[in-house]
Amino acid sequence: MSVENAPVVDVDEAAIPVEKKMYYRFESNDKKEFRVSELAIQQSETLNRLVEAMGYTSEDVENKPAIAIENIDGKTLKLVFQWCEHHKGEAIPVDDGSVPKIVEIPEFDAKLMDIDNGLLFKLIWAADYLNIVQLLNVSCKKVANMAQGKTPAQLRRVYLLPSDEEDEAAKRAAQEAQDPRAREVEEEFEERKRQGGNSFF
Amino acid sequence: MSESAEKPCDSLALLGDYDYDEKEASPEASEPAHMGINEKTDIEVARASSAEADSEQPGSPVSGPDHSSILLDEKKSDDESKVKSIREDEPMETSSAYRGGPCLSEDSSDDDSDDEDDIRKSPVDRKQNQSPKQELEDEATSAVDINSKLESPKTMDETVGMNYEKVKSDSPEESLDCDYGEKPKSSPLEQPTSPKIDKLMECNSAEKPEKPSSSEPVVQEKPIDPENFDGLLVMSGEDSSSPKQLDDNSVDMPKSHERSKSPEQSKKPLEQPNENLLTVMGQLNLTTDDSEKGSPSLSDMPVDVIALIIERSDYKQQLILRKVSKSLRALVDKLKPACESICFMYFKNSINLVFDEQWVMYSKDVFEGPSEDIAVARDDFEKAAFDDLVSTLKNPRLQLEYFHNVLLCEVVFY
Repeated sequence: MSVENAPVVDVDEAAIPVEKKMYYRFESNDKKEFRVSELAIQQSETLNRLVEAMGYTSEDVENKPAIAIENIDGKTLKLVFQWCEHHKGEAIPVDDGSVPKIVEIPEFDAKLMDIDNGLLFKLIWAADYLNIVQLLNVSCKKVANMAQGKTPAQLRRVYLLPSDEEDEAAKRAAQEAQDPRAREVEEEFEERKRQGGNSFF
Repeated sequence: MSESAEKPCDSLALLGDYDYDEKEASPEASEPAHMGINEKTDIEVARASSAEADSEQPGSPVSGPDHSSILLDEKKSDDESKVKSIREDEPMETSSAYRGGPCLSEDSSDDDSDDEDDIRKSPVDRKQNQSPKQELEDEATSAVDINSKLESPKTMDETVGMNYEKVKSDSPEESLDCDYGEKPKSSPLEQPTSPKIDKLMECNSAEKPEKPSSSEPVVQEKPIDPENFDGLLVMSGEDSSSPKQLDDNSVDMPKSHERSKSPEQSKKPLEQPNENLLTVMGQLNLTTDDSEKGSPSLSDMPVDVIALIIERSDYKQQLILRKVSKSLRALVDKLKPACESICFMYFKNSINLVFDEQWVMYSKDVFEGPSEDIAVARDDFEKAAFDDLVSTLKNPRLQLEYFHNVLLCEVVFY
């Protein structure tokens, strides 16, 4: 699909003023284009540094091709930029090292993250990649809340994690696949050890 | 036919590498050849023989004679007398075996048999044959040389033959014959100096193209080997697949050219970096294959993100997460425990652990408590309780403000 034919998704029409504010254009890996305000971009440390380094003027933004974000799809990027537009101008939280982290999930964020686990996974991953601290906070809190009141067995199903036994079996299988002779040598060594020998020689 | 006949030549070449050089340097005496092997072992003999070599052929390429500046006349005379005795004793034994080299083209089977016999000689025979040389060696083996250690008894037998040939080779043809067997080893060392060896090399390369490479010294093989070169490139951080780039950048390109480039780059600080950043953004592909499946696992998340999720769970939840999987347990144990106070209460039928006012009750039977409390009902509830307590106290990042231990054995919960 060409860039010209790509659908243009307006993140927040109401938030777009007619003033001098500059709107950067970003393109997802499925060729969806987004216009994001400079203030909203500041929520993302990665994108903020990128546009600072590029030094685009307002003309450059219009004339030059959109900045491609190759590893995030349009659906996820739309959620990310929606969140950024909603929280633009807010202070970026700094980690003070305190535990446990107390995070409140705002209503807007709760609605935004009312999505399936696959998309939530992508949202967390995109927030981590674009280094959007507050979005990462709330999305991780959302995942942590998913574990509330569940037993370890239920959590294994939710998070698709293997049990200790399955983990051991997988590790053993991987080792054997890597070196099939290793187990034979180990058994031979154990046998010799049982017989009283200290070494193979 | 030729291959079978070449075997002894190869072995000779392998064994008599340095001998050949010595012979070239001093064709009259067999000492230098022997010295070539034990050059480092016996300094005195080496000096004497090298002196002879220098006096006869000043332009010899062998490095051994360089030590001849110090001469010990007495030793030299002794050595010469011994060498003469060797010359008289050895020829009968070695000539038959060694002549096989030059006669290869005529009758290879005989040569093979002779050479093989020579090689297969029992140690006793060798001792008998080499008795004069052995005497020399006994004197020479006061110090043990690495080269002599590396060479097998066969080499000694063959080197005697080579010595004899060197002594015997008054005519250039005979010396050529002798060299024929010795070429492979000596050729790499003497190529630039002696034209004779060039001829010999041609003969050798025609008949045995692969053997000389195997007989080359290890020191010379390594730098030439392209695999080693690639390995060095990789070690130096360069791409082994593009050695040309290395040449262009590091060797061919003059420094002035590099300097001329730098101001250009400085003139366009925005354009060039922008493209690089864009390409980097495109190259940083962190998507996982599992994301395509639609049901990503928590283990597909970056470790930092999983740590963030754990940090946003309360401590009771972290204790549950520890029991989900091994990797999660390891991760939870690395993080700072989210509790500042612990109260341990041991009752007759249950154990209560309170982490920052969060109750966890361990017992055989399920107790009905507040909904936010965790009840662990197991037969080995003591073990479960102490495991949780130990895992908390074991964490080096734990900073407790309050720890209280209560033993109320008489109290029973109903």
